[in-house]
Amino acid sequence: MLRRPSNHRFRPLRRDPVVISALIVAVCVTILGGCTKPAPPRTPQAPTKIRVAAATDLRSCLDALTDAFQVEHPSFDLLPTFGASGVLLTQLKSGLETDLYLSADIAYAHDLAAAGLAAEADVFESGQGRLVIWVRNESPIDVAKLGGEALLDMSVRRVAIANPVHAPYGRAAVAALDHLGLHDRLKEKLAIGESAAQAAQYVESGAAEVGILPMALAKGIRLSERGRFWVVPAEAHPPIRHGGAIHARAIDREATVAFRDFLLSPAGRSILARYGFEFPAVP
Amino acid sequence: MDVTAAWLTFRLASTTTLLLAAIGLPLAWWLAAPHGRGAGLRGLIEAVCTLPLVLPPTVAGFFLLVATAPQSVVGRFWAGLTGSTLPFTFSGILLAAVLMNLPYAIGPFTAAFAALDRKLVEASWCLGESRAATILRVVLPACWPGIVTGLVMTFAHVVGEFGVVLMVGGNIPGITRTLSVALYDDVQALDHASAARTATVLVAVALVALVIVQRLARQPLAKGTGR
Amino acid sequence: MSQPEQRLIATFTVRHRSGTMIDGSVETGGGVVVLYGPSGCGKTTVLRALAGLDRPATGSIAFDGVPWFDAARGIDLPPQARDVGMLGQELALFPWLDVAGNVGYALRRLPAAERAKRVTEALSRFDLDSLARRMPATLSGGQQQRVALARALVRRPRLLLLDEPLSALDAPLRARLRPGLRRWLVETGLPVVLVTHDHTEALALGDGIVVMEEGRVLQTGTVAEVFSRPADARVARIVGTESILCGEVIAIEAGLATVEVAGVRLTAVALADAGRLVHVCLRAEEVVLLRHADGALSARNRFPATVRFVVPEGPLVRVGLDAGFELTALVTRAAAEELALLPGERVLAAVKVPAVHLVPREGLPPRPVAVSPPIPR
Repeated sequence: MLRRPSNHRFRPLRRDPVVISALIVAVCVTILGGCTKPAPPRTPQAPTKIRVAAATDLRSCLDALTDAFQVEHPSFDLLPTFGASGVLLTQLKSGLETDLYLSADIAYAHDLAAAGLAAEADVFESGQGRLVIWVRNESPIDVAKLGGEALLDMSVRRVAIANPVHAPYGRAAVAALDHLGLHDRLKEKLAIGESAAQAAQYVESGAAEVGILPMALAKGIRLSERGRFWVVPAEAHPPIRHGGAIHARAIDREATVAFRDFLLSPAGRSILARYGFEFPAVP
Repeated sequence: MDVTAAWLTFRLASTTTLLLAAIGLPLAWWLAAPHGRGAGLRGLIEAVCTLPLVLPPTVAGFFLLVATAPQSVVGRFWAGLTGSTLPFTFSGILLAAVLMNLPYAIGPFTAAFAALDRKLVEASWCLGESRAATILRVVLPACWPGIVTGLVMTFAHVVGEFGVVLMVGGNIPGITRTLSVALYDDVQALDHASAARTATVLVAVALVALVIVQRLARQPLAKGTGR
Repeated sequence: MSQPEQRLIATFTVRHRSGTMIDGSVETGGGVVVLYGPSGCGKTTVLRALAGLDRPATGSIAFDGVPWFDAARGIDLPPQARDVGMLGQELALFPWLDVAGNVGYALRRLPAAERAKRVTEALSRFDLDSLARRMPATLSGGQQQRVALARALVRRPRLLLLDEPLSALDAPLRARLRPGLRRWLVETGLPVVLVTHDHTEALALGDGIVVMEEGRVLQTGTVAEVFSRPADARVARIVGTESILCGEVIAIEAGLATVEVAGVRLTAVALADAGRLVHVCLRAEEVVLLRHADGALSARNRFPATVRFVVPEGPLVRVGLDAGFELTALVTRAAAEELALLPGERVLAAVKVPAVHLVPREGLPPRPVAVSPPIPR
């Protein structure tokens, strides 16, 4: 810090009231904050909160699922951590602790089991997601009419997709572009978000004119009122098979299993269906 | 605004500041000493302490993750000690915050101690005060603006710490989701209203810190009066 | 000749910050010993070693029989344990404390009442009563110096160390404060070691003197002896060539003082702050020699003298004279030949009134200091 010499007399500590008060407040906060014990470990007897590591497209539907589940189990709550499915897997392998892993690609869940962090029997499939091309309400692009051609519109400078490396929806978007024969032409215009949610954020904020997003997000509470979309045909990309696993070190296994079962139940599936999920092969 | 995240952020900032005061003040005193002995080592340590200033947070986060991974030496030692990992825990982001904020503490501390007129210290010794008493009665009164500057800068910077906290901590509510991470999360969730509230709080903290530091900077240097 | 008990006995070598080794050798039983020499010769380093702020490389320092430093036995007492009062060149008053706070700084451990009493005492001793609540930055140079002195003396140290106490003040202020400082130093009765490079200061404040140059002690003795009889050319160059004589002012009239020196009466410009005892300083360059007292001469001081020795010094000649007191004159060779200056010859010495330099010598008569021969180099 630059110290400007000044004509002021040296003001000893006890004579500067502003700094004194600030210091007293700071000291109090410091003492209070530093001395707080870390949160006590949760036991199954405490109000049930299960930790979920979930793919970003599930944000809205997890809210809906939790609300529905709480009708029967009022003390239940979710503590979600969202991220690209691949990134979450890496974190889980690096020691991230969670009770339930919900991935946009069931292969990652199997991978988790293979790493010894979940029992293979605890891996489950939860449905298939769909891809959409999404624009904001203000956009001049008539996406319903143009379909895939909307991406070639003159006003489009950036197309937002999720990162193909980590996010299943990103891989699906690239596959769809290949299928539509548009990948080469749009390669330079791709704005790659680190997750599907970030890709959605790019389009929603206007940084990108159009995005290839999960339908679950498009139908979610935030985006559904702010834009319109065109559903990408299912044959344009490999199926996006959602799946998950119960973590081997889940603290409240009972509650986790209960929630997982709800997810797979007809009631749960009807909620998921509202977000565009499909269930072609019932296990 | 997320109250849990706010409380977590203040816990992180205050604990980091306390730790950096405890480690940083003696270290800065040694770094500021005018003796010729150990000058090379002194320069090296000072460079290391300043490194986080120019290190991209992602690089720092990467190194920390690798160094504290469960399979690493540090990770295994920590697991043996506490039974848990360092990444994705409060202890992990605390470690990250302490390391990343070394320059914000050590910098002002060292500057204050270096600017200290050593004649004042020697006068105190000749007047019969022990070294310890002299630190309390001379060094602290003379250097308090610089010391407080370091504490305030550290606190404010930890409140705003993002990249490393996200990388090392993940985004775990109540444990590693600080205000800035919560802000990022809100943006991802397209919840602009909540994001705006959190951002306002963060800006307010930064402004208050800057105002305090500015006032402190106006204190004239404490030189022993008399030629 | 019996020497008084030596209280401080110190002989050591210490490393100067520039890297050279400095020889320190100071002994005193009381009174003021001046460390005198040109800037950079190591005087401050020696003082700091005596205080315990720098550690000597070899040698020993002992006070009243207590070893403060002994290289052989590995003893090195810190300043706190030595009970010295040290006044550095920068007074180092604490800017966040007022005058009373500074003066009372060392008395922390006393009960409050006792502390207040000692502080008030010290403040009035140094005329600081009205300034007790002022902050050091608002004081004048002279006031700050008094505060620093009060602060050092209030804890009644055993030895006082002063580093160039007046050097940063301007000349008129220095001249005003010098007698007062001498008075205070004498009143405390403490042994004092004082560093200065100012000729007049050494003369006015010192009893004994240690002449140093480039880290070596060249000569020690009383101030008068060393200044009048430098041991060699180097010392002579450092102290200046002057005869220093003890005199007594017997009359002052119209701004001129009559001073009696060993039976000879000299006229000099009277001092403003005149005491009875003075040092009379005569520079060899200003002593004029005559053969006969004929013709009017503007130099009012004339007295007979006998030539004792004649020593060539480059183009000049140094003439030692006995006029009832020792005197030196510097003349050209030609002049010496012309006046036939040979040992035993009687001549007249003349000195102008303004060239008779008086330095007040108040207080106790100078106490003899151990005169050691200059350390051969």
